[in-house]
Amino acid sequence: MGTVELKRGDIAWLKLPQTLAPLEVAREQPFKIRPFLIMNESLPLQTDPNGVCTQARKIIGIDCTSKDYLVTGRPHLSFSMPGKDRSGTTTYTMVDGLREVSSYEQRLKVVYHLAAEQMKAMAESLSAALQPEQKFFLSGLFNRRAAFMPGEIWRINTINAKGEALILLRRGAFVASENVEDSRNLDRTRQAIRKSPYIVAFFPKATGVKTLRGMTWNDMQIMAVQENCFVERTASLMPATSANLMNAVRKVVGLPPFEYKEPVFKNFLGMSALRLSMPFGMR
Amino acid sequence: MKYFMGPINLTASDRAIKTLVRKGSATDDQLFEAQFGQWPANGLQKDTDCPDIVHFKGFWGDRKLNPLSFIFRTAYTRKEDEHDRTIYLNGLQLTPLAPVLGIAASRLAWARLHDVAGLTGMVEAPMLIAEIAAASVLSSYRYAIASSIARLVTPSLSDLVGEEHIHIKQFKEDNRAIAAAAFQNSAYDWLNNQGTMKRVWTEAKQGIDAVLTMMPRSYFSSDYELQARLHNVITRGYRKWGRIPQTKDELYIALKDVGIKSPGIVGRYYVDEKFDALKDVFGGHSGEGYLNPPNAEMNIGLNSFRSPDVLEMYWRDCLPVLYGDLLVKYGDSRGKEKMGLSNEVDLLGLPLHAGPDEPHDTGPGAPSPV
Repeated sequence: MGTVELKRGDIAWLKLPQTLAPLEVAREQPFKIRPFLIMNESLPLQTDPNGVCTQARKIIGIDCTSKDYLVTGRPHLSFSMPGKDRSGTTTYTMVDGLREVSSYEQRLKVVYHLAAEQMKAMAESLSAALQPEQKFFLSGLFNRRAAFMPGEIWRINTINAKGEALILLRRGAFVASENVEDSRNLDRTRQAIRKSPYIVAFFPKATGVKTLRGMTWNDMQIMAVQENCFVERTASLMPATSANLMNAVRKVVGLPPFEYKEPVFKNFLGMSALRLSMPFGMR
Repeated sequence: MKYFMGPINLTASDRAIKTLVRKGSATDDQLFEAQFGQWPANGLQKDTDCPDIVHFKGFWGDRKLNPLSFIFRTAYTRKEDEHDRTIYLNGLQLTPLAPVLGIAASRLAWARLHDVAGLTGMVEAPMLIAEIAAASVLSSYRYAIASSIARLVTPSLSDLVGEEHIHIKQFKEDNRAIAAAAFQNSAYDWLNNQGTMKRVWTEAKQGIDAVLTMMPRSYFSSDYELQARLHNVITRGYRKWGRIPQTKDELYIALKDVGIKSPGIVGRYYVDEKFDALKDVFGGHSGEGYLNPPNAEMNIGLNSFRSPDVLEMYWRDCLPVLYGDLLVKYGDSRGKEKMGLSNEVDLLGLPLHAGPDEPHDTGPGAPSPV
């Protein structure tokens, strides 16, 4: 028996569910061991003699990716660390997605710790990303058929998660660097996907979620998903409620809360009833 | 504030508050004592002192404020400055004209547009119909007008200072158990996700209410404002009950007693004889929902959703949380426990229920939080 204390800035190889991979890849291999940047402030965990965790606690952090098709050409923060097989160093880039994983049966070995400057850059990027999206003030009058908007609750279907999830961040909103010039050039040359996946709060047990009152961290799981997993919109929450949740996430990853400002025209004319429900099959 | 006149001081609590305002400052406990008449109040198990100082200042105009705020604002606190524990009172209240001008400055002035129309000879048939519709159950106008008249006849400095005092404690304390509008947003979340017909019907009722009441009603349904008014309801009720509610049942019976708009299930649940003893203490004062401004303003807030389901949700969940937190503000550290709440918080930052729900928590058609 031993104890390992994970700290913010640690990177460990963890077994992560493949929520971002294409379906056929995820079916073949539902989990994949990848480097994971820990964002919990401090997380003491018990391990067995082999260093495998025996406690089920939530670890929140960020995927690190090397040559993955998802990250190529995306704005990133680079760093090098020993490879899984320790055959040499590899340059890794962030960010694929903010997510939570269970610590149970994970081999907890910290292989790298971000330097203070890297951590500061990371925190700034995260802070810029973890903000509620400003909506068009007349949006209440329109049926947003073509988008998956933050604040909406969707039934999702992936290999590892089937149920309802609240969209926290939209595709493209989650970047690790303000300087996107390099990535734009990469985009042109490699024709790579530049946008990030969606970050959602998945509710493993709850169905028919209409308000977050009474829900705790244990009732949800932050994960990154691609848009092909969204099946059906089941509800949408007020921007202020989503902002509350976003602040809860920011608190966990060590960022100061932002002050939510009500839009000048809140729910224009109060006519949200005019929004038609989404016809079957239309996105 | 040495020459502070204030409105007519009809009650002992008004006079006591006026003395403190003239002094220029008071502690939290002194303000509570002035409002309740005795401190700790009967029934309150106070185990924490509240020695922090509250200051009083007059304001005649402030460039940072909207120029119209001088006309429409009776008092305010600066929530953006966590170190400023000052209640700013409208300078008009420093003059003998305070009873009239103070009332003119009240937010409820909007509600009196109906009466102005009547007084100026506009009582034609359409206006009469509008007046009748406004005074009916279709709108919250009846609460607005009754409280407005009550403010005109019996203006209360105690209510004014009490409300701002609670706002100071909400904004300045580290433990912000009450978010500005978590319950309000939660209610809108729930309403927005109903079926199309139900949503259209509710929003139609809200629209009619908004037009007929002619005032920003949702202001009164925010968590901060409801809690500030709940405090004034309790201080006014205390003079009749002789003690403050200490359990959920006592709170519900007391609020129902003073005319706070309640869902049908509350009335049905408390018909039982086993509650007779409680009803003897917290009973016999019905109708005050119209006559006391804080009660009426709470009713405007609770009525603004125009939804029986949301009203039930507020009674089941919101009011005990607001009151439990109020007890903590009074100095009873176990206030939340007494309302059946735990120290854990949910994703919105609000306390969770400690044990299994009580019988009245699970009525037919009760909206489930999850």
